Amino acid sequence: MGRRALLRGAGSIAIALPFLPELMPRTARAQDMLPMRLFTMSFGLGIEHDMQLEELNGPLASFTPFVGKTAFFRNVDGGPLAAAGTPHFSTSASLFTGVPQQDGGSGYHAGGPSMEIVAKQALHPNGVPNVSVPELSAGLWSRTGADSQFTRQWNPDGSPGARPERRPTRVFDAIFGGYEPPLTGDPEPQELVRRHVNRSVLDSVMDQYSALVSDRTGLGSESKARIENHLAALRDAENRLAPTEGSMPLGDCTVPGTPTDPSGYSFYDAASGPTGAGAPAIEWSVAESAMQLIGQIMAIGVSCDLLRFGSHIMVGGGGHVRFMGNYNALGTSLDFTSLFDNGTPHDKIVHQYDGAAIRIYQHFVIKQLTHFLAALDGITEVNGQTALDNSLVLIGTEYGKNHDAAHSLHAVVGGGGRFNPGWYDQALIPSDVYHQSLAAYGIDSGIPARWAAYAPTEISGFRNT
Amino acid sequence: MLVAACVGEIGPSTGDATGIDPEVAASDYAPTPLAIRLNDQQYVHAVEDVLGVTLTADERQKLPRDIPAEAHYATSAEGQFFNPQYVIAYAEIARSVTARLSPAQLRQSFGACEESTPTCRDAFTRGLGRRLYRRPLSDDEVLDYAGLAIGVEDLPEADFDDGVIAITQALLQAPDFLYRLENETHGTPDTIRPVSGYELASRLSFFLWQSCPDDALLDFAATVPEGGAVDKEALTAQVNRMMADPRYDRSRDAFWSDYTLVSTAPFAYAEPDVQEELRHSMLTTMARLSGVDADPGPILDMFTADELWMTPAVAQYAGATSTKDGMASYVSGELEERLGITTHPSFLGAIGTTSFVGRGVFMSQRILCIDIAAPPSDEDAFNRIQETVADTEELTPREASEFRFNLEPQCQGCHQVFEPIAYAFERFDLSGQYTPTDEDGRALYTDGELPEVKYQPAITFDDAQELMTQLRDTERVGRCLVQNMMEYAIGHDVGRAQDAIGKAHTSFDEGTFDDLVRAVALSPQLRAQKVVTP
Repeated sequence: MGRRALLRGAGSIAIALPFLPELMPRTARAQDMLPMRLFTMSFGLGIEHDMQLEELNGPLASFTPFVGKTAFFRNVDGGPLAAAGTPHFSTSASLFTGVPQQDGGSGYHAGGPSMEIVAKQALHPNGVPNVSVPELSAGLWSRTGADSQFTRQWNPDGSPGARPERRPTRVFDAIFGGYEPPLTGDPEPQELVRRHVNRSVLDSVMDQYSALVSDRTGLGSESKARIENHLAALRDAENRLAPTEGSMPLGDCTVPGTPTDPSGYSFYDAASGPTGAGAPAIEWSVAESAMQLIGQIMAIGVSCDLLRFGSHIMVGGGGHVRFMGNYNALGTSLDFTSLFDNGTPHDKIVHQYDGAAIRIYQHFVIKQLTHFLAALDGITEVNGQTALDNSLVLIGTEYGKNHDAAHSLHAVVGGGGRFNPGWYDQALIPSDVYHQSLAAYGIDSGIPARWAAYAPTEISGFRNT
Repeated sequence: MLVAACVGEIGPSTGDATGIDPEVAASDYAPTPLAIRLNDQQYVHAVEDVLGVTLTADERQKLPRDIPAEAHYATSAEGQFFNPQYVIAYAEIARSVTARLSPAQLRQSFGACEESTPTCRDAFTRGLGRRLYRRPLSDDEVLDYAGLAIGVEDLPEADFDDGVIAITQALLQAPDFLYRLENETHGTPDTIRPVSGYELASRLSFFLWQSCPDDALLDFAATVPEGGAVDKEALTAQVNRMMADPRYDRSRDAFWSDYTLVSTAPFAYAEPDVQEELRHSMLTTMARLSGVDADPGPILDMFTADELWMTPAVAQYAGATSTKDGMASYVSGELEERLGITTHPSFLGAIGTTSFVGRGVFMSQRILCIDIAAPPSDEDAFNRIQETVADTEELTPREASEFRFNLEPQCQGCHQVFEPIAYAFERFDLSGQYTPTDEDGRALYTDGELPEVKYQPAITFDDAQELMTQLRDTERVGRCLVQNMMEYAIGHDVGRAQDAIGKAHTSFDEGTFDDLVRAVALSPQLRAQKVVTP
């Protein structure tokens, strides 16, 4: 997909983003300077094993453009990671952490950090240089049950990170908002003063947070962990909040115009949502517009090196969103409106099992995640590869068939040539995929240290050594 | 900057140590302290109250929203997220707010001086810092802020006022402002200690005002002796003063918003403008029943209230024979089968499900504080659930419920306890409309029997009105309301603190809403803290 086509792909969305050529990455960056990026992608419920075996002729059809850069794992069992059995909150909480929840499982805490946080900390212990937002979580979900069903970003102590942002304009603000381009020429004295004040204030504030996490304070370990999370975010946001002369907050990128949320997209206002007939409803085409726009905004953020780590979600654990409209795929049509009129996919096609409907519904879900992949793949970087090639994308879900965590589809996309694409049927658990993917970058996932029972399994043929 | 400074090192305590607070000493429960971040609403209130500014819509929009964890409150530590966007929002709001402030006015307001001198600057720092930190600043802290200001003033083209603005911005991003910090390790681990006067003031103000203490409350805090008994009369006077303040309305609304779920309910079936009316109608009802613009009765009467408030659109959901202009009260005779808040269309609509399981779990937790364990989740249990779903597919909801009662003990034990309360509401659909038959024209039944649990006898009922009338008089419902308020006040799940709840319940005496708040505010749990290991 060409860069212009990428943005035209927004269809009827009122989008005011400039064309990507104006947003090319910093010209000064040499090929070997391309940063490591890691994004996780998740979707609710799962794809049955026999539908995974259909490869690109089933729910995974939208992966067709990326099949040459994707490793699919069809025999991954999430069961060993589900500390409290396989209810949604438990299987979801272990996604991308690779370890079971602590204390037998609850909806509020994971067993450790998610992999993009692990990578960020390993590579940038003193804060990620230049980025706009240290890590971003975005996508579409409805809250039902415990928070772990939609939380995909877990802090180093396993506490929940950011809730995924559902509103495209807020995703845009998170990446491009509040920017102060580097000063050029002969700036006004007051502007210089203002910037120096910003820096001095930030230094003062960071000193205070640092002092609080030292051993000299009267805080317990749990409180210190919370303060440490705040301090880490300050370090990561340092160059956005108070850029120094040495930092290049935007480089050659121009801040694109503010986009508009898709018409009729009020979904993001529903802070909480029950399941069943009371679950929030949304036209599938409006949901697609939002996911397309979020994917494009994130990709532009990557291309400008304002975003390196994040998570992307299409429907949280349980799939508690009622989609509306007639959806056509795989040579057939499914009337979401009548199917989900008084219940969610969880209720209507999983609990009341309907394999044919699951096949089409998950095609729709997967398609939404591939918008971000497509946007990344539409950006050619200085090494001649696409931004997708130069990123690591981990994909996972909670179940295989129904509520069984066996055969929960996982995939790895991109990876800069470190992995061999294809279809893998070796028996694995999610931790194996995460551990080996990070190891290919020389990063210790930390999973064996956090989970004594874990013995890593080598994935035959996966690493391109 | 040391938290330890909260106790002993800063701000001379003017009171004499008179021995440990006897109520705290006798307490069998105290919350385990945790650095709870001010939630988005508390942050807005605190900035606006202390600085006397109004945050713009753009500034408010920068803050990620704090959503209460399931069945908890937005004031609770349980499930509180940390989003990196907060640090960006705090910085950007501090900058834009201070751009609207006059440094001279700031010095005058918080330092009682106007001159551009180090003495005046330090007085300002102490004054504003005391309000935002909810305690006096130590000399070292004032020195640190002076260093920040001097560094800024030394910049070419900068002046004294720039230093004052820098201090203000830094204070607005400081951990002692953004987090509710207490000295968690002062004492023997696992023992209970009385909190300091300033820690108590902070707890009270975020409970009763959702904001920082004012000067009068901080002055009171300074009189509380370290570790000693608080002057109960003076404390009561402070609580009463705070409850008479308009800021108290925020706390009442925030509590009821989360209690009734309307703070987060999507009301997906209604148009956007009606969704807002549904929230507003519920909160108006709760405010009136709590004594706003009305003579308050016992707050437990909310379960049998004969008068509910709603807008015309909401009244239509309630089957009003005729609607009135704007927000108006409707008595039972004007509505279809309504009595008490649990039959308010907003209450039922906020639950968002008609299933006996969904409604039953929520009502049992919220009204009866029944501790419901997560369903068994091993593979056998899962398969059993699937079988049960298949077995009950053709049954009516009531038949399916009774089928679940006859499952193996590990299932029936819980379902028998939490489902029956929802029977009484079977004739209310998802939007709270009264529908005596289901979509196939089959009659719906509202009778049932609630099993006996502690503090609540078995109850036989024919409909919601009869159920709630009987429940209202049980000790369990009164204790549960106290438990909800205590969690809201303390920020922790207090379900296991039954002795403490019992004492607060006795003090509440099943009086008005204000009596409930006062009982919790004056309970030893507000003054006690469990010491944690460093």
